[in-house]
Amino acid sequence: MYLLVDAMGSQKKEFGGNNQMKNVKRFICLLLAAVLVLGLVACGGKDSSNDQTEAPDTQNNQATNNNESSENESAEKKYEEKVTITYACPQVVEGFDFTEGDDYVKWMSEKFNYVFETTNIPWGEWHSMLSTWIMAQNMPDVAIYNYGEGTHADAVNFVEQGLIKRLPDDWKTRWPKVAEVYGVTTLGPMLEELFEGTYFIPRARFFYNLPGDPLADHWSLWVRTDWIKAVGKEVKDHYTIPEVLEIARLIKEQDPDNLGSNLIPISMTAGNAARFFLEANSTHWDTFYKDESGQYVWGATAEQTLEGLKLWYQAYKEGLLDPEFYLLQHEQDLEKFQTLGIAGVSYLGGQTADVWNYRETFMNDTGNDPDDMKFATLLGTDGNYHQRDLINYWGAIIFSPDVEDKVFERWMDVMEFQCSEDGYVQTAMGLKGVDWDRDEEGNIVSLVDEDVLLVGPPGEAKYPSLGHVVGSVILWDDLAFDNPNIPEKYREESKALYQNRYDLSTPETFTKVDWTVWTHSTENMRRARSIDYPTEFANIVTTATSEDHLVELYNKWIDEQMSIIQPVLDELNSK
Amino acid sequence: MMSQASGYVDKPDFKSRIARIWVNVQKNRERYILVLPGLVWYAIFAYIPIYGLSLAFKKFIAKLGIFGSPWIGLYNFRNVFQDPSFVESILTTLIINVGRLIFVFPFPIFLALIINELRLNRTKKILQSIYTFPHFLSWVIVASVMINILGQKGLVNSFLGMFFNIEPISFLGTPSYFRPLLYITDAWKGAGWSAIIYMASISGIDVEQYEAAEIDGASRLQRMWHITLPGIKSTIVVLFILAVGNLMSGGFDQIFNLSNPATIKVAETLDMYIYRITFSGSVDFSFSSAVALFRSVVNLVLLLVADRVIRRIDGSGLLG
Amino acid sequence: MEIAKKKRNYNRHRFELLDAIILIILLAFATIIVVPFISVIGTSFATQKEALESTLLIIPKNPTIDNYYRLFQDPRIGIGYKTTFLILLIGVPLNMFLTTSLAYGLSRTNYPGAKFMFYAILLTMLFNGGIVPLYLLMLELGIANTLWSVILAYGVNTFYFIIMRTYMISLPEALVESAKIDGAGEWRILFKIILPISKPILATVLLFYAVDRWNEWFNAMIFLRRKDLIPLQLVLRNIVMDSSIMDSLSIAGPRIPRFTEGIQSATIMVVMVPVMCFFPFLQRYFVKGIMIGAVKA
Repeated sequence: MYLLVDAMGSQKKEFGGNNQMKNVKRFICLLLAAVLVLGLVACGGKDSSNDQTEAPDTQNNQATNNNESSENESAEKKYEEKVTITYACPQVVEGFDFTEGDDYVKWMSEKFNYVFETTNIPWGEWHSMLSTWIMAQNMPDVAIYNYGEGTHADAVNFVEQGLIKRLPDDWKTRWPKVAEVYGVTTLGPMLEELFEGTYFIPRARFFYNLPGDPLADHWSLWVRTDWIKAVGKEVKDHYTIPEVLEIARLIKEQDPDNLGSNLIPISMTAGNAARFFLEANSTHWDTFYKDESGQYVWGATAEQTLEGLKLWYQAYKEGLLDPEFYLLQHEQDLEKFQTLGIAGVSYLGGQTADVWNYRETFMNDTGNDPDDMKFATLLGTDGNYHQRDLINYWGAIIFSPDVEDKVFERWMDVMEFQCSEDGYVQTAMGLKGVDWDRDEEGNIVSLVDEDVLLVGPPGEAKYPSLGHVVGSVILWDDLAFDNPNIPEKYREESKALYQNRYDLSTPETFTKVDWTVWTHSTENMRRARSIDYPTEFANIVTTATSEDHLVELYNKWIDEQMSIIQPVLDELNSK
Repeated sequence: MMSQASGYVDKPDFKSRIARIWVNVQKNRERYILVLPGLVWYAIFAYIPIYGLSLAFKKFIAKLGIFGSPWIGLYNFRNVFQDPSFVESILTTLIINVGRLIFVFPFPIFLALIINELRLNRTKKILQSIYTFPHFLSWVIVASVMINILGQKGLVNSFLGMFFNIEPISFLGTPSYFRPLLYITDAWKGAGWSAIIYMASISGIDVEQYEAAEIDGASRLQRMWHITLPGIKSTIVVLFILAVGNLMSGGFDQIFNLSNPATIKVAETLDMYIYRITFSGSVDFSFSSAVALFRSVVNLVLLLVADRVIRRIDGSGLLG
Repeated sequence: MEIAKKKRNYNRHRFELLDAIILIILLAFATIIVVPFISVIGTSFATQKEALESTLLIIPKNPTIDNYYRLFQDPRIGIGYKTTFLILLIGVPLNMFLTTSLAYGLSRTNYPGAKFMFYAILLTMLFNGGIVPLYLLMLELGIANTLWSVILAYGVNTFYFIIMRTYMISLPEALVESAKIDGAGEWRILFKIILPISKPILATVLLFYAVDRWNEWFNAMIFLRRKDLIPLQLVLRNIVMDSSIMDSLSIAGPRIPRFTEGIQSATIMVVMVPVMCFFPFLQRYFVKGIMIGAVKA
């Protein structure tokens, strides 16, 4: 019986020769893999060796605190007890020690005597993962919640079920600076009223340099000024949609850089095209609003929406748009403008913080002059700027309902400091007195060399921790206006852009938030919110064979959606 | 023996049946021990979580947990079915997946058969390895490769333009090309990997059968058709039935990455629909449980029907 | 012995038209796989500018190891490898043990409850409670933030179980019967008889489990919240994601250009190469005639 196995064995010996060669090959392969891995673990572990969160002695606190900014503070609190704070948000750099990983976090954790245990949440999973943890009642002490119109229903859920902490009623007097920042977010106070208590502290985009209320968005037209001049048009800081299309036509005809078939007059993804043609023309294109008679109507049915759609179709048919714009993903439209230099116009982000970075990349990649590109405001066909309030926030700070009081208070103290002028600048520029300081007029001056990378990945930057992780309540959009590292003329350009959005609009075209619509979270509304407007409209544009056909498809689509939309309108109008 | 007699059926028969079963259990004692570890795992980590599907009939209150949340009957399902897009997505799913069964399913079998016929052993091994490469590519990458090849400025269109003077065809933006694109890329990406199962199965075929057939004068094609293919029949049958049991699911990554606003209308399967609904906002566990339960039930029905039908035709199904 | 010789003679003899056709088809298929693949390899060694400018990049004119550098100098990579290796070392043997014992134990369903058990297992393939109940269970069992949660969450893949079982059913009954007559117990039969002649299917399932474990990331993402336990795929995913998010975090200095596709391609190579090294080990088990000796005796 067990001869079977022997028979097997002898069979193996037959092909012995071949086996040997193979064995050697396999051994080498395995060896290579092992060496590779060992090598990685050895040098990869370089930065993570700081992982061991050791408690620095309280004696060291004073000794290592050579930073001058602490002298400027009025309330010098001494923290006797060391607390451990757990935290999660997408900006946490995985594997980096936020207690002692670089000088900045060391300074912070010593000043406030805490151990900071951070967990990363992948961007794509921000909402779903954090919500899962919250629902499982296993969330960290502090987290940043991706609050938005679409996730409001969940926020309500969390509050109703007591899954996040209700801040003590006197928190505003105990932490006045945080309360001040909280006040300008407009969202914070609204939620507080709705929930009859504070559960969310939205982080403010702007505080010291708030452009206005409602808050203008930073999304802008990107244009090639050299091409505009070449076709004989004026370089301005605002254009209407038809004006842009006219310029695009001329660029297509004249091809100033002789790119031939590579030229893409207008480079946009489907999403950005929707913003360009529809959002910029029709403020409420994808939501509900009250018309003149006081009734709620659906923005997709507004005249200006169809008008914008027709312009979109025109541009597509004329070849002004990238013929395969619907295939573009992520930042591929940006790449065509900025890296390849084959696009004349684009519609992309234009945050003040990046106005120089974009130009620098443009300059390096295409060899053009940085002033060959410019940002401008896009106006609708009526000559007005259209937008709904951006709302002065991004992400909201929430606490676990089971957080210990001492942990909660310590973190609030950290945030209070981060709202102070110096604390705030530190979150972006490093330590005062070491990396930057103020001159006699109070302006910020940089103390480091130009080629020192302050912010970036571990291993490359001086302070990999810099970001919004360490208790920021004011985000970086604000500081960008005062940042000495950005050439002043571009900062001025940005300020002017924000300003002309207020100047070139009316309260009807540039509107505040309708909180009724925002907080409406019934089943019908949830279904209505699942409409993917950019995709749907892009589909109509690419399927239409003529303008009449376009209108036909558009009307058909409107009818189809009514079964989802009408219930919501009824609900809103009965309020 | 006694049971077939006139009326004395119940009591004595019942007892003896229990006795017989007990004897059987004792006889197979070792078998039970054999399957015990696996069963324990399934009981804990597969069956307990299945209770989560009960959320389909409940309103999830986090603090009460799954067990404690209140029952609300079919409310969640009503919500699900009221959306016209939902019903459409089911049809789209079925159409796409039935097509997959017809066009993609046979390909790995074919591949395994012809690889098997190759007599150059070393080439065979190298080819086998090569065919598994695409399995490791994510659909994100495959989609971007497809754009390079099939885009209007891509290889194929340049080729057509150069040699045949044909205007660029929008392969990726034309709805009617979408399903063929799905099937071709699916076969390209997955055939090599799936073929491994068939090749393992072929290894188990008795070599003597081939020799006997050869002596009898059968050609190679005849041997392939009459020996190899039947030899792996049970594997094919099992995989086929399982594929039918997956008719309502699968393919999300592929469809998500290969579809775009121009082709979205023919591409919205159930998974895509769920993604659209849940991506924009609320994390509603009751809703997703309802959809998951619906999908599972349909798959179960399809699976059982397929198993039954094939057993009728062929004699053996999943159970073997 | 003689039969093997005879077979070799046949092999050498005829190279028919059929062989030529087969070879052509196989080579054609191989080509359409390899070419896009070379494109991926090429992209991993290229700069962003070059990749954008070429339609199908095969060999970059200005090769760079920048993408790999960016990947490997990230300290998380070491953690990734370590975690994944742990998962593999503990997880795969567990997978194989559970699957094999189940597959063999249920290969003959002629004893009480066997059919029921089989269908109960089959049912789990169709009904899945989702990640949330599983997460709650892990919390309940107290293993949520440990590697055990990830290892135990994937114990048996029902699909692989069915395949293995199907293969074992096709093994000749005679073998098992004669072993039983000789007085061998089930475990002995499994180890001494069934496993040796099941090598092709064992190799297959081992490969599948190993690759699954190698690629695992989702469960770990939800269950684990420790800096020192992050599977490789999750690390790579994070690195690629980081490079594709347009974040304005760099206001105080130069913006680091991020070449997402390049890093992504490098990621693929990093994932694939070890598996490709492992694959030949198993290929030798896909040898025909594994049962020659068995049936003869």
